[in-house]
Amino acid sequence: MRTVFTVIVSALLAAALAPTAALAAAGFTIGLSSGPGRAPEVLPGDSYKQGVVVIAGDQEAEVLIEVLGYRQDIENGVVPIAPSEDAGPHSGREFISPGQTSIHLDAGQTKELQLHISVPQDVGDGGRYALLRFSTRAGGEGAVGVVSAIVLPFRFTIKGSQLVHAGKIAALEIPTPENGKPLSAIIDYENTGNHHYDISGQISIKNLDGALVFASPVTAASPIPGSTSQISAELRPDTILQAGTYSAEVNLMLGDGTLLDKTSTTFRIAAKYVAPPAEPSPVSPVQASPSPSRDAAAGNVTTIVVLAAGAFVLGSLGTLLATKRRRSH
Amino acid sequence: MKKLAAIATMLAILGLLIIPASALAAGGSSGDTSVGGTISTYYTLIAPAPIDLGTTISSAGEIAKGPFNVTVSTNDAAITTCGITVADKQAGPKGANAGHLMNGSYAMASNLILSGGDKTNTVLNAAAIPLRASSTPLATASITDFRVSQTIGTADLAHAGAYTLTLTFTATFGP
Repeated sequence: MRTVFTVIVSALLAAALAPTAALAAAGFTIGLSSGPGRAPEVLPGDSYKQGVVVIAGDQEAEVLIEVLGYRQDIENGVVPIAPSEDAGPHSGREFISPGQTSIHLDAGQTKELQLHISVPQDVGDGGRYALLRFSTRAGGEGAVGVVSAIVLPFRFTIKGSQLVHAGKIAALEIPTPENGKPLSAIIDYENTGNHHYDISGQISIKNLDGALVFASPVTAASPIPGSTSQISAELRPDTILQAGTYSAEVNLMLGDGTLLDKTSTTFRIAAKYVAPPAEPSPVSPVQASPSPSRDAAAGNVTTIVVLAAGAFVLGSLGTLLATKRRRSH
Repeated sequence: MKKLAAIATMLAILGLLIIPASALAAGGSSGDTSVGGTISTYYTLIAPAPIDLGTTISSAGEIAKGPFNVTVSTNDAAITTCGITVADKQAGPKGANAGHLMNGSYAMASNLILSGGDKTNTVLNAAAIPLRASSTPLATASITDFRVSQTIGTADLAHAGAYTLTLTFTATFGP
């Protein structure tokens, strides 16, 4: 039996929102419904389902579903790896079976599919990583066709296994600052462990005498094992930096204070530098990745209203109301 | 347009909140059963519709179209980065002609040129071109100035016919 979801409110709103037809565009939305989400803790031998809802835009769409491996790199961020090349020890690609390779949607239609997740009994330690790629086929009129693709990483933690959280700083750069703009620290960081984790730490700016001029906290999410990513921190020294040579020292740690790696470099201020005033937001200069949680689904329900015209309106409260169509055979 | 969209958003949310689920539960045509469902997290890409460069081109010169909107967004608090890239992913069969409008086996002499987001007058090819990235929780990346332009050369005019190319817009959410 196939389950078809239809967003009921779209019809009720169609008349009032007719002018939004001018917003015609391609594209679609992927939603996670029932299941533990993208970053579950799983046990060897576990088997479960994860619901995925696909919502079409204002055009009929054939959405292809692929399960791929992935890595992260500095230039390109998340990089998909084709199944034929995905032989890394941390691949979780084979855990995921979408059950179908494509799904057909009429304009504005919503459908749900179930991902079947199976964790091998001999899975080993650490984290396993895979990527879901949803893409439309090119269609419609126009010399320049458009394919829309949404790429969604999945990160599995093998519960009860030995998680190794380790890494090293591959490079640290402090670009020459411009007056009135924040000082930047760019850190290339490689995950040499077997699992992803949150990073905290500190960047200290010192003068040639070794006196501390300014320090700023750093929080970031590690790349997946074997990958390198870039951590960019904005620093806003609360004192004027006179022309001269300074040192920047970075210490990166786990949440429990365990040192991951540290390094330092020097940089030169050619003329007196004044940082912009601190922004009122209390967040730290580098944004952290909050720990994913199974509870997120219960406390963070968001309404997606698909307009008749195909534009998406996203609300922060409410429930997606769906119609389940039973097909007789 | 922004004002209209904002009004639409308000109407939609208001409309949803005042409709009790029980009132809808009995609805539906024969054989349908209405149920309540929830989406905990969403990931959205809004890309331009297929771009019409004009029906007939009879002289050399440049054709430019745009601006178009491209937006990616999510409510997943675990997502700290998202980005929009564009590429000619049909490169497999096209090989060296990636980024070129094709008419059968003939490729226009010039690549399609893209602008928008962080890029200006960038040559389209098979490699993903990052247009915009965001690295904040609940990431949203949006551009409103995506444009394409194509130079038509005199050699191209000798190859009458319909030319096509496919842009692949990819929304990537991480980590």
